[in-house]
Amino acid sequence: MTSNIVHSSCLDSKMTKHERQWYQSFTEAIERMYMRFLLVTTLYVMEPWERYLVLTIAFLVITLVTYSAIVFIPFHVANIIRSTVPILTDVLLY
Amino acid sequence: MTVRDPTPVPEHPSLEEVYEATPFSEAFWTYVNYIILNIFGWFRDFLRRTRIENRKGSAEYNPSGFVPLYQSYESFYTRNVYQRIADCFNRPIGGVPGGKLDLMERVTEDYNWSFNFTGNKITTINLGSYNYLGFANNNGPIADNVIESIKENGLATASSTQEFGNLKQHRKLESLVAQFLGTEDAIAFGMGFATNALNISSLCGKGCLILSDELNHTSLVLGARLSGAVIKVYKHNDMKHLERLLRDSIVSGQPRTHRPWQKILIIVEGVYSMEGSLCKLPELIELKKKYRAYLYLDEAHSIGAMGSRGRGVVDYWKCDVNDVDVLMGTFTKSFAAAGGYIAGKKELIDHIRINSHACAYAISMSPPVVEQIISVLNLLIDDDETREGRKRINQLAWNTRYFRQRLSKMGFIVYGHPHSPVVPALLYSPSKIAAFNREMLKRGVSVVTVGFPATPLVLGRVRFCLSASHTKEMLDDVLKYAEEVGDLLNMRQSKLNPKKPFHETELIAH
Repeated sequence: MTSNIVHSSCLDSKMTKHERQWYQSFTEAIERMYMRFLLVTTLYVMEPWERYLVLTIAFLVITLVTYSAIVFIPFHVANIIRSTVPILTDVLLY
Repeated sequence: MTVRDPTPVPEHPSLEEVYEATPFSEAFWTYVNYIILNIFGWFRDFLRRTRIENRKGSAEYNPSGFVPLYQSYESFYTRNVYQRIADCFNRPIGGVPGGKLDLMERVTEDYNWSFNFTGNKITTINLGSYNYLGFANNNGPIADNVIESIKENGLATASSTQEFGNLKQHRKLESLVAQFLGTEDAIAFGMGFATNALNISSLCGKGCLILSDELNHTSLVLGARLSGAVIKVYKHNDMKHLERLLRDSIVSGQPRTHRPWQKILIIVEGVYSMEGSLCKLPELIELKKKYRAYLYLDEAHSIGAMGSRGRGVVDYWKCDVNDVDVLMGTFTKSFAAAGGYIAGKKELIDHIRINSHACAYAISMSPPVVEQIISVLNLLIDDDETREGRKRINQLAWNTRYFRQRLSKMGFIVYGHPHSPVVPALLYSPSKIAAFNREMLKRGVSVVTVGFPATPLVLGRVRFCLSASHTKEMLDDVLKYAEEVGDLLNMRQSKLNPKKPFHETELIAH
């Protein structure tokens, strides 16, 4: 389905003006990356509802990880710095 | 018949068979693909069992006390992996499979569980048929001969060879085959698979040893098992392993009694169709003479296609035909007919005539098929360079050299011997197998892509079968499309031949 677009747009772009080229290669690159993603994760052979399911689960996992990173990492980093810097200055001065 | 292209193509730089190592990323992602397919298979099977989803395939009830009909993992694989890409396999054709093939167009509404024909025919360049010499036509002088023979001899002999099925035509075919190959006598059977499966047991029995190559065809494996001999398998084309096995077996003798073996038979194929590799015939003959074993050579894919005169691998390696004890071949591939033959010394063929299961029980070859093979053989026996037979053999050799060199220069990982007309290019993962097939079909080329279980798990491949009916323009089109699709699928990852665009791979004749 995606490569149909690539193939027909390849033929079109050779016939139409040069101005279409600047975003043509960009869309082609996106199509190519999408095709490779589908092939590597075997979503190419799955039915559409399976694709949505996998993408949803992947999106949820990424959101979960990002949320916990945003919420918890600053506190822990500040905690570590607060608890080690006074000890470091004591060690260096003496 | 197409005109032969006049520009000579340079010979390959080296005639060694090179099997490039699998790139790590491809192997890794292929295993990941199979894991994902397994997980989805369990998920879908769960949905089907709890009837959330309709069960479309066949399923058995498994009543207790009965042996299950289907092996469980095999049917799991068929339901969940094969069925998803089933539109790539078993496509119905709408015409003669020559250089160009008409495919019936089909659409599926429920994701490859059932198909409907739209009524259209798609004309494609055919790289999937074993039509090596291009004799698959439905018009021309050979087809006229066949029609004449139907009027004279009918459509079927309706009898086995030992009863009333041996017509004058069959004797003529057998003597022509013997003349073509240079042996004393030959015998022909109606089915190529059956030639192997039913005749090995008339050559070997209990107390014999069969040494067979790892990648031998199912018919040879079945025939060897049916014979009841002890079977040992050696690694593909590995002569050192074969010699070690021979020495160990001769020294230790039969399994429990340690008596000497009655007979040792080495079974090899001329051209292996999945790898595209050739057997190493000179070394095999030397081994066979040294250890006094017998050699059975299955030339299914190489008869007519290899050799400067088309006589098969024996002609290609310039060996003596009398050194190979049993020459077997099929008429399905280069002769565009059906059936198989065995050729060798007269004593051997007389023995097979009396003792073979196929002669006693199987119906003999149908007369129009015999006439087709006789007409093709008459063309091929002719050694004149300007006549049809030689032109086709030379065209096939030219096509092979041209296509293989350009394909490997473009960066594809290609297996096999540089002179074999079977060209496998590796794809590795199951989703790429489906993608390559469908993309090439959109561009008007029909190819055969194979995966597990016909090949090892990680090594899915596409197998191009070249033919003398392909012109240079057809091959150029195929190469250009293969370049496009190869870029889309990230296939061109060869390290030995880094990838180059199509126009840079021009072959310059010196």
